[in-house]
Amino acid sequence: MTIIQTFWTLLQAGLWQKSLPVLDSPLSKEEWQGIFDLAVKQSLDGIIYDGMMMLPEEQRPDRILQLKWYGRVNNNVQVHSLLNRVLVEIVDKFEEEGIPVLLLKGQGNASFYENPQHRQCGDIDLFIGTKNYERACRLIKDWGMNNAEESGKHLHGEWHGAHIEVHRFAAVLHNPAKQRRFVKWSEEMLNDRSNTFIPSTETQPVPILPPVFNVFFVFYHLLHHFSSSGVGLRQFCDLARLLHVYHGKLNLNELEKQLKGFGLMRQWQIIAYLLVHHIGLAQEECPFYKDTGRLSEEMLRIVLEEGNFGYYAENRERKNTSYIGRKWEGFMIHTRRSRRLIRIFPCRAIGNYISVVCRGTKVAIKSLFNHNNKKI
Amino acid sequence: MRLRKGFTMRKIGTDHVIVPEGVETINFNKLMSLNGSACYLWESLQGKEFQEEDMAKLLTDRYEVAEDTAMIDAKKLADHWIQTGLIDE
Repeated sequence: MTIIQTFWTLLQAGLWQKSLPVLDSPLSKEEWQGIFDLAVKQSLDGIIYDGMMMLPEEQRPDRILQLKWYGRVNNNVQVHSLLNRVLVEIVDKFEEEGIPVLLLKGQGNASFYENPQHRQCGDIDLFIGTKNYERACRLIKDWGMNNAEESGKHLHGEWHGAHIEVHRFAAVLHNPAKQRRFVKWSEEMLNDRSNTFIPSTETQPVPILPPVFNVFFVFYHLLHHFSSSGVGLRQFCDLARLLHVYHGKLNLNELEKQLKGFGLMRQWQIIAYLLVHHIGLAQEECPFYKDTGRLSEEMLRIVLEEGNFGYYAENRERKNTSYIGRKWEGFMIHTRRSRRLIRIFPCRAIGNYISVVCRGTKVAIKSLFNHNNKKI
Repeated sequence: MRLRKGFTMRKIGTDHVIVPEGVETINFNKLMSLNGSACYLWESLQGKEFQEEDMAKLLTDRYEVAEDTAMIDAKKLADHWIQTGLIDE
């Protein structure tokens, strides 16, 4: 069994916790290190750890690696406690101010796992919508948000030890007509706050997205990050777990309508193939499944290379010291990546490429203009 | 002194390990592996005020060890736990 085959075996065991993993033969110390490194790269330390712990003791890694691995998993559990506490507190505060909030992904996604506290933590993303956004930003700054910074889509900063993003929009689509359609749909979701979960270390429910929108959003978020900088397997696991838990309860007509309406059915099917063939989602639980083997496997190759949010991608480091030099390097990195993506998601790759190049050029011109003005 | 709150002992593989738990110890980036006598002391001292002499007495109660040896071992362990941040003085 190769390292990657073992990785998939342990991932499926840890994620679904249905059947015990079976290894052909014990792994060497170096092979275990390879599995661990891959788990970290894909932000799946906890899930692969769970799979590993389902092995007979004699097949597990050596003592030192087990302890190191456990340390990471345990720290993640602690971070869950912190995030859950902060989440309940901030949702409460906004609701007291009459601002409805929906939690996007993060702790909400974790609640769909067999062992929520072993899903790698991120931050807290709160969807506020356009109507209350400005007021929500003012309030959270008054409540002591540190290092608050704003992009067009959200305000982000640190609050009570957690990184929080307050979203005006749940997502941003490049196509203006599709963005208008998406904003309208997402704003309607703020009226339906009947879907909740109770964070594992708390007693108060937190509202999350309704099922169809939740599935669509998690899928789109995965696609968006893959198309821009990169995405890890954690996001695939999130989507698989949602589909598993929602199986039999999801309005498939509505989901199909939205995927086709946004022109994303083909992209869905490419990702869905990976959920079934690698993440281990049962095919009957995967809506609109289609055999897109070659394209999906190409996508997976990129995901495995680049890791969580593309942090581990090679040749991403900019070595040039001059501003223009670094901008050029960034342009070449983006061009090389886009050439790979165009085989899988051609329209998306082209649209994204044009958007990033235009944005980067505008920023570069503005910076150079400001720099020259300062000189004068 | 007292054992600091926010730590628990777990068995991981063949090791008994002190691990941080909860939000208060979120920045404690260590795991401490304990031998048999350290495990025994950890469990026996839970929730109690103690001095090094109390640790030494626990050792002599359980093990066939001379008092002065037990005292040396107790002091060494207490110092180590203080340095690591497992004890509130």
